[in-house]
Amino acid sequence: MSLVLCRVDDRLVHGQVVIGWGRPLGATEVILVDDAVAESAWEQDLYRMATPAGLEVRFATTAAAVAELPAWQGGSDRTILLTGDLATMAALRDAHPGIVTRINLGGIHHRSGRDELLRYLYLDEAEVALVRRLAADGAEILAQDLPTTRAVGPDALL
Amino acid sequence: MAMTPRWQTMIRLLGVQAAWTYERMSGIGVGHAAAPLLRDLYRDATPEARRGAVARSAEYFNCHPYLAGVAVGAVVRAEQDRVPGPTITRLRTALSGPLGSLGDQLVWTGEVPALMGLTLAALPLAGWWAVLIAPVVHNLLRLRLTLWGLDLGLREGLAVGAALQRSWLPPAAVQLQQLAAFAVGLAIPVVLMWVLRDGPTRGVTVTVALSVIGALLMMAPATRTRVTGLRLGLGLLVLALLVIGGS
Amino acid sequence: MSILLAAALLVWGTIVAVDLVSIPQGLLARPLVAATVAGAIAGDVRAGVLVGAVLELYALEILPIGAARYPDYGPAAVAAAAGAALDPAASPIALAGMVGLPMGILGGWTLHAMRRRTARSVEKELARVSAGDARAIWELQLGGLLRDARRGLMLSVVALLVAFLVHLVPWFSDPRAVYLDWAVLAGGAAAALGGALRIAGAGARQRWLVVGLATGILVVAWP
Repeated sequence: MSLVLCRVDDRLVHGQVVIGWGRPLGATEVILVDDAVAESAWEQDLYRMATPAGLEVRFATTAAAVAELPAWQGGSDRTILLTGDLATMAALRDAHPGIVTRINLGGIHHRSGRDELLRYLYLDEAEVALVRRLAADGAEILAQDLPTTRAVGPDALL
Repeated sequence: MAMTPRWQTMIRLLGVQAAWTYERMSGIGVGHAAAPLLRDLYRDATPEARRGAVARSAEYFNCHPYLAGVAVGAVVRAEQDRVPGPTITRLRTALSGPLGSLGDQLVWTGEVPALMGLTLAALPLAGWWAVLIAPVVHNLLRLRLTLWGLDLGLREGLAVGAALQRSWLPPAAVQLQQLAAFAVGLAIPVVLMWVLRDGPTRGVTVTVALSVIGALLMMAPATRTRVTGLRLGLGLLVLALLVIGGS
Repeated sequence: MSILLAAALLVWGTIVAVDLVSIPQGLLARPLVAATVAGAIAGDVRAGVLVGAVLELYALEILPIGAARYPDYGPAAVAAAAGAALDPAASPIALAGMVGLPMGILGGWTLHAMRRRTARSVEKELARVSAGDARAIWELQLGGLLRDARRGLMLSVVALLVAFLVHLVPWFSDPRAVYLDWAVLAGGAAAALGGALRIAGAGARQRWLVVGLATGILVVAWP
């Protein structure tokens, strides 16, 4: 039990993740799964700079994450798995349904074509369909920006 | 006397969240703050080039308000270096989360609770005038930080991430958060006893017991998503009103 | 309450409301600062400091990070402090809870509603903003600021009215009225302690929190 949170947040590594969730969950590591950031040294510098002492941040491509997830799950770190979009998290879930059991929707923001479901959650039609499909497959999907706010399930959401 | 664009931007940075929305967050405010510097930079260029830069600077942006100057400076410098538009948009996106995270640690969980905790703890000794010192100290620090951030961004452009990492900010965030933890810890018993000093001893026992139980509920995995101090306080208040009114 | 006093309190309430997120974010909105000044305006600084200290404990729980929703304790603290300063029979601590906490929640709601309205005004000017029209951006900023000032003024009016209504009920003639103080203080201490534990997490910060608590207990237990 070392995967403490699987979060989708397009702001990637920011205060809500490292302080809001990281501290009460006692997280020791954030793994950011994002193909673009995994290839960009200056962006990685930025995210590392913003991570507090005691919390490691690692970067992985989707393919690498699919391969490594069982090892992360078995490791001694308390890990927050973070993706910038729903599709990447869905890919991880589909590859390892026994590991990625709960998905936290923490921030998907406005873009043209997306409609507002919550003040921090805007989804387009394809993403809504994806949430439905993941829920139907048995994933526990909850929208919740911070541990202290109300968690909203897919029935109330869609 | 005309103000330099740098100072116009500096003053606009004080109100960077005035048009904050859930869609763009501080985007409009950052665009507004960047405008004087961009106007200066593009004064000999075509209006189209200037407008393109202004539009880019007002897109979605989210970070700590006191560090928004770092992003404004870095983006203006990148425009000056003729960095392509899509890369500048990428720079803005990449700066958002880290600047927010760093600012949250430095200010919201560092300097502010440290200052407020120390002020609360000083009340029994120093009296009410201690309260006036806090905003003065805070605003001096904050103006210094905003100006420093803007200048850092203007100097470093795309390399601002590495410069931030080398700067005094990350270690200061660590130390201020430790100071905040100490100050808030110190303030809680001091304020409780200061407020309850004239009442019956029973009041201290009841209040301390209830607050420890409350804090435990705020931490326990089963209850932490539902229990906040605010809800607890309101619940206890209603209970007290029922006890008083019920007989 | 004279008209001049009411006007001064409303102006101060509006200033602290605008300070919270719009401008200048200079710590004036902290309940300790807002209430102390309001107490001074209403003629009893001590009552103001007490209200402010209690509500400040509650405010220490808040993490205004990302786009999270949180209460706005500024105008709430102003009204509770004014109520406590103007009614010597009332307990400042109980008023901090009875006026400050619900008005703080109401303040959070108004903040949320205002952000929605600002979003609609941005939506209306989208074409000009996307075209890089600096004047449109300036107008949106100014509009947001005025909207926030209006919010602060309305919130201050409502909070002062609530403080006045609370004052009409003779809560404090009952000897058990002290229960109200205990309830409000226990909630505040739990908020500050639970909030500090959450924010500290594990490691050095947690140790400093324990050191601070121990120092505080030693200080107050000293004969």
